[in-house]
Amino acid sequence: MIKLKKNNPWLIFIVVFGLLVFLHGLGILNPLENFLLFLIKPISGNFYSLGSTFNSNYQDRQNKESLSSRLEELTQEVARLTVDNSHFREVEEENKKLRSQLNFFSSNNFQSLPSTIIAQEAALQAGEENRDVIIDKGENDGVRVGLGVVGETGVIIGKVIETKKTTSKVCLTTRPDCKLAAMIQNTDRTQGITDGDLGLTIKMEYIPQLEKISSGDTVITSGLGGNIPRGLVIGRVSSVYSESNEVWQEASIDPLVNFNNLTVVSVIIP
Amino acid sequence: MFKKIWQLSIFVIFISWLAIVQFSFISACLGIFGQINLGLLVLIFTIFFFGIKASIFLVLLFGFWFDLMTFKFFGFYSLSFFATTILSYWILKNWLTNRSLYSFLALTFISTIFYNFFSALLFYITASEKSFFLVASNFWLGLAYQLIWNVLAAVLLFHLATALIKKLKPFFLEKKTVL
Repeated sequence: MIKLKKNNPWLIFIVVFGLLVFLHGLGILNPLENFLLFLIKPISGNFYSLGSTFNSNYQDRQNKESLSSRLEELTQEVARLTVDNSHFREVEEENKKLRSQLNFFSSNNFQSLPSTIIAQEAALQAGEENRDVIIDKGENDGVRVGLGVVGETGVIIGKVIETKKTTSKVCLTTRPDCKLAAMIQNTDRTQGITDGDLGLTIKMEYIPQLEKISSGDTVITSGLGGNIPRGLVIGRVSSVYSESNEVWQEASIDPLVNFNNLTVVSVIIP
Repeated sequence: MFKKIWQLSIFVIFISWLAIVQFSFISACLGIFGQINLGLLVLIFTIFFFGIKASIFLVLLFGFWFDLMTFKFFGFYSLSFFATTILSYWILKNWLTNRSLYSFLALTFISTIFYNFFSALLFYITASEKSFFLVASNFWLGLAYQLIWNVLAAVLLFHLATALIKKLKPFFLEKKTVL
């Protein structure tokens, strides 16, 4: 017969852990959990920002320092200009349509909710590929699954895939299975779905061979699905894989944002 | 009584601080820096030097913080750390009967491998991941990085602990000549 001592540590764990899971499941712990998360969110945000700065400093040292910072500035500038350019092209396109239509709507009719990244989900697991980020806004702030998230320059960085009361999980556009309804700003206005590729780049598959795509074309969200508004920049086409004997062609898209330096983002609420 | 409450408070604050550092700061780092596992390191250190009771308390607290903050199912981290504690304690009781640096390193090495396998398997089963972790090169690379970090940190921690805490200093039996 197994003798159970009063201070048996294994027994203590089973009882306390069982109780925690039970109370969590019933939702009784919710006020305490929300309070604790509320307490640590500012600290977590600062720690994440510190880690991100450390990260970018380390990367800068690895490269040539001046070139790296200059490149960073230029990348941000290009991203900003691309956003402006795509916005103007959309406005131009829209104007054309408006001339022939009496009823129209504004494409930028949405609100943005500024948020801070407090962590990456991959913590404590060896080599986890999906580096989803956790932001400090949740269901209580109006965030719901499927909403788009943009970086400081206005480039879309991903979408909300899970929510809690006070925090949310966002998948980055480069993560496999993070799909977005997209459109290439070419003459054909090619539509498709973008998907992350190995956590490094973005790809757009199943594009009909007849569509003309070239490197440098800007890719934006198409607005299909309803949760993410049209016109948010996803990236720029870097290469096109097209074989004459294939039915489809594929485009590789470079994201216009450095995901490693992200600390402040905005959730787009349509 | 007051001393005990004070020690407990310090322990709770330290573990909570450690959990936040791991959750936010280390997760923001990339490459080899992002593979540091503070929780596991402190857990092995606690099992080795302070016994099972303190370890269980650490697992409950650290696990609770991580279960609260992350989006994995509630209890994921507590269970992973608890399973690692069981194995580490068993190894320590049955195989590594002395408290030398080599024992500590061996325990760190085995526990790190076990923790990563257990948590990855649990994640694979519960989250219905498409790719099996054993065939993912990222898993092996991450594990290698984590082993390097943990073993290096274990050497440092061991020397620090034996230098600072009198109780932990190794003792030697000396032959005394009887006149």
